[in-house]
This record gives sequence, C-alpha cells and structure tokens, in this order.
Amino acid sequence: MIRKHHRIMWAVVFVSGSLASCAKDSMSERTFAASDFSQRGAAGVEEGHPSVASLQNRLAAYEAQMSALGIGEDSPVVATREDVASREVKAAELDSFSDEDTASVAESTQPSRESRSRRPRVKQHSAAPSVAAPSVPGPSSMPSADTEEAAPSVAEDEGGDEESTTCTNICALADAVCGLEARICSLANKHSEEADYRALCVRAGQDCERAAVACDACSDPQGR
Amino acid sequence: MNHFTRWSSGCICGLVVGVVLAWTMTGKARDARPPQDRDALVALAQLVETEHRRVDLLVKAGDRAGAIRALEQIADGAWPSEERAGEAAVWMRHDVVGRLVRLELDDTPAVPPHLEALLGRITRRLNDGGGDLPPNAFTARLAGLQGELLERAGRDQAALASYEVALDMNRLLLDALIKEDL
Repeated sequence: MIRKHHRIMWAVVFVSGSLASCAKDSMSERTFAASDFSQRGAAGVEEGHPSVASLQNRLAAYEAQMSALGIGEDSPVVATREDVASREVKAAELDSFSDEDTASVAESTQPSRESRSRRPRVKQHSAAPSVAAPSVPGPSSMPSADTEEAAPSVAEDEGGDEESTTCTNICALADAVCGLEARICSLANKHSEEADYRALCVRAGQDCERAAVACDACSDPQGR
Repeated sequence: MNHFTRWSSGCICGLVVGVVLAWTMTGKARDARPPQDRDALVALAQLVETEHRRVDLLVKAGDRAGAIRALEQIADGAWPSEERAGEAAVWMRHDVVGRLVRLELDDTPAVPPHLEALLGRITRRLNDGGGDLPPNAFTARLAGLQGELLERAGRDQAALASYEVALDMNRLLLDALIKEDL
C-alpha cells in the first residue's frame, strides 16, 4: 500500500514538474535580455574615434531627444548638466589628443591582466552580441570600464560572433569573481576565527577557480 | 476512506514537490522585463553610452573630478521609469553608479570623506526595481562596491553580506554563460 502511495506521488511529481517547467519557459519568452542590445549604436565607435566635442554634440542631441519623449520633465537632467561654456573649454583641451587616445581608452576597457596569478587569461574577443531583437544601442552585458578595477567589459569592435562574445563575458565575469574573492578572503583573514567569513572565502575561491577554468577553456578551444 | 486519504495525500505531496523541484531546478535567473516604451530606452541608452565615452576621455586626460561630476550628473538626472523603459534602464543606472563609485574609491585610498553619501547612493539604487532584479553584472558590481564601502566603514558583517549577494549573482550569471557556451 505504501509502495502504491509512493508511485502515485512520484507520478504526480513528474507531471506537475513538467507542467511547471513549461509554464516557466513560456513566461520567460516575453522577457528581455541585455544581450538583446547591440553593443554599439549611434554614439559608438563605428564612425571611428569621436572627439569630445562631437560626443558633447551628441549628448546634447540625445538629451533633447529624452526631453522630447517627456523623460525627466519632473527632474530635468538636461538643464543641470555642465553648461555649454565649460563643455567647450574641455572640448578644446581634450580634442588635441582624442584620436589616438580614444584608441587606448578602448584598450583600457579590457580587463587588465597583471594583478592576480589566478586571474583568467582573456583574449581580445570581439564583443558585439549577435542580436536577434532589433538593434538598440545599450549596455553591454558587462559593466563599463573603471580605471583600477579589472573592468569587466566586452571588447570594442563590432561584428564578432556570439560564441566569442560569450567567452569574453565569461572571462570578464571570472575577473569580477576573482576580484571579489580577493576582497572576501582578505576580510576573512581579519576574522579568522569566524566560520561564516571563512566559508564565504572558500566559496569565492571555488567560484573563481571555476570561472577561470571556464575562461581558459573557451579562450583556448583546442584545450577543451 | 483510508485508501482515498492515502491517494489524495500522495497526489498533493507529488504536486507540491513537483512544482517546487521544477521551478528551482530550471534556474533562478530570469531575463529582464521588456520596456513598454522602446524609444525611451533607446534614447536613454544613447545618452548613457555617449556619456561613458566622454568619461573615458576625461579619465584619460586626467580629469578625474570632471569624470566623477559627469557621472554624478547623469546618475542623479532624469531617468525613465522601470515600467516605461524596462529593467535594462535600471541596469544602465547601476552601471553608471558603479563606475562613479569605483572612480571615487580609486581616488581615496582609505575612508572617503563622503562615504555615507556613497553608501546611501548605492543602497538607493540597489533598491531599484524593488530590490528584485534579475541577476546582471551591473547590479552584482554595485553589490560588491557596497561591500567594499561597508568594509572601509568598518562594518565587516554587513560587508560580508553584500559580498555574498554579489557572489550569488555572479554565480548565476556564470552558470548561464557556461550553459550558453556549451
């Protein structure tokens, strides 16, 4: 009797599990992923390396566009931005180096390679996600560059395939996770007696290792 | 009666266990909700993208203060609502604030003078979307930065909790990316 009871229960587990999975899948069909964005749009690099002045012109245009759409009518960002005069001064100061330096800025958005022995190797992959949805200039799936933190960001050039984008993102994520591990474990060293600190350090170490292995594997497909 | 009780309890247990297992085992990560107003999202994305490029140049020119000011202005400026421009709009703001805080922290080796203001800014942003955003790299970075600030403030236990949030989110992202890569 008990065995029959179990059989009924597992049969219902199977059926309801399948139904729940289907329901969840259909819910996620109408969602919107960051990868639906193209990497670069009207503001981007396709025209070469824009100068500060041209960026400022574009900013003004986009701000006007935002206003026209009624965004920020309550708290206008447009009017409180740097005034035009100071922009022009900065533009004049910066334009002189813009062309070659934007190239190196583009390089600086890649994760730096030097700091940690376990930091995963990162190849220069092209970044643009292949887009199923209409192209929207928007965020890459990784944060923008910082100067000192290993900036998890996708590469700058467009036209890369989806696989290399995924790999770039894996490596950027590995960098972020390993950076977190460093912080967590340094904190854990200060609290060496406390189990929760130690446990999180161990977990972060495992995540870093896993991410680094995944990065290595996709960066070097021969080694897979 | 006894037979019926067993049969129905088997069904109910099975139903509950099945739904719970299926829901949890098919992954916690969900994609962002789509925007209602795509034009608003496009306009915002163009603005943010261009501002990031300008900040790149300012940082490169050594004008860190100018870069911070530019990021502050955009972070505090007008932003379309999540309902209107979707969760991607929230992510973009997290990206801007994350970069801003990183720049501020890189500028100050120890405790930044306006640490509480920075913490307040991050906490406010992490509560965007009811604090229930799908895992994404921008929010994960923001949680990590919150941990860093709390650590600098000497609030280690809270810092550990923030680091854990960042770690959890990154783990889900990594799982999804590895799956995608296979």
